[in-house]
Amino acid sequence: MSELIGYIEDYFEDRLDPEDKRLFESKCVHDESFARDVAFYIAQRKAIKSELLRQKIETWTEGEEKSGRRGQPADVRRWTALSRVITGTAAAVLLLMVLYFTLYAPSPRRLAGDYIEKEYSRLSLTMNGSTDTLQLGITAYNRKDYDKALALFESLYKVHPENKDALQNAGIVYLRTKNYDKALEKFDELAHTNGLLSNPGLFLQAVTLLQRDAPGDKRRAKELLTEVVRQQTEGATYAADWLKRW
Amino acid sequence: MGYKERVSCEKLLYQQYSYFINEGCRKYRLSHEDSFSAYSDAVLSVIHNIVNGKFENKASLKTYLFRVFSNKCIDLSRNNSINKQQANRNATVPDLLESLPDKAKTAIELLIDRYREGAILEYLETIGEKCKEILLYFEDGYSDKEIAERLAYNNAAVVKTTRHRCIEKMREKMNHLLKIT
Repeated sequence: MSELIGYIEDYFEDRLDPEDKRLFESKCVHDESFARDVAFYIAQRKAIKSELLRQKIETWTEGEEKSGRRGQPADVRRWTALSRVITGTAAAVLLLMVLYFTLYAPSPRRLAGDYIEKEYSRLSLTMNGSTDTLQLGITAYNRKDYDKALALFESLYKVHPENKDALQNAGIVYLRTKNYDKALEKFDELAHTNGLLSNPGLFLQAVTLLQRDAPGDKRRAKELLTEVVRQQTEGATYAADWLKRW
Repeated sequence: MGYKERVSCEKLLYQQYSYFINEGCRKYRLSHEDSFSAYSDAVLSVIHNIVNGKFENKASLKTYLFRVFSNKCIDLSRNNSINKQQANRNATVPDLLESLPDKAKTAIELLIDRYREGAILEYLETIGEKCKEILLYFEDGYSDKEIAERLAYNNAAVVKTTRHRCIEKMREKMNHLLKIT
């Protein structure tokens, strides 16, 4: 039997000459008893290799933290844990951003509302020798006496149609009091005024449309804002910013 | 290289590239256990190929190891997808069968299933510590001469004869079992 094992081993260690190799292969096919011996030889080699690998793994992974996964050095495990934390945090931040932009991102309407609050909660008194009526109107506006302010601005503009501050302020009072149609009228008139150094007419029309939010208003407001940016008229910086966030 | 040096070099090699295991999980969608098994097997194969002079230094050791590891992952992944129940989890097998031509291979394949690995390993424990040690050293790529030196045998021929007798012992026990069943 030992000779037989030696013979089988010689075949697999490639120590047989070609003729003996052919004979060996032929016996595997035609001699069942011999084939069984070869099958056992291969099977035991497989089993011993398996046992050898088990022992090797024990040696190779010796000293690795018991809590950790086998085959990962401590620094890899630490990095894996760290990368999980980073990935988790990134996913959470991304989720928050998505939620923010879908649920809480300021809509154009809200941006316009914030703009009105910021720029027109108070009007600045003019120091350029404007009429007393205009100053009185502004004072009334700042006291939130909108009826009186409107009456003063309207009457001033009626008498002095060249006073576009009165026209603009009248429009602002209408905007603050949510009388959007009248505000649009005033701002449209303002937008069509030529010869002004700075004309916020188009921009204020867009702001008013965004606040009114009637069907088609948003689309029209976008067109107006685009025009403001194109013409670089007053409000162009805000318009560009809002269009970016549209 | 002495035995101790070899053991520590093997461990170093194993640890150096153990991050491949994560690659196996990610790239071949293997479980950690399967990827770990493929990696360990790949390391052992590479060691044996180095010992047997089959590593020709054409690629870096890292590239070579990764190639062997990838092939093992692919085999394991294929086995898993073909039949999860019957998948051969013993990725450590030195496929001697592959050395045989097709006809002989088919004939042997039909018989090999009778010899269950678990049963062989049980017998391995019963043939004596020396026998087990010799067989394991041989499987680890040590020559009979090296085994003789390491285990204080007279010469390589004695080791070879002893080794064959050890296999014979297991074979006899296995035959006995097969006759009973």
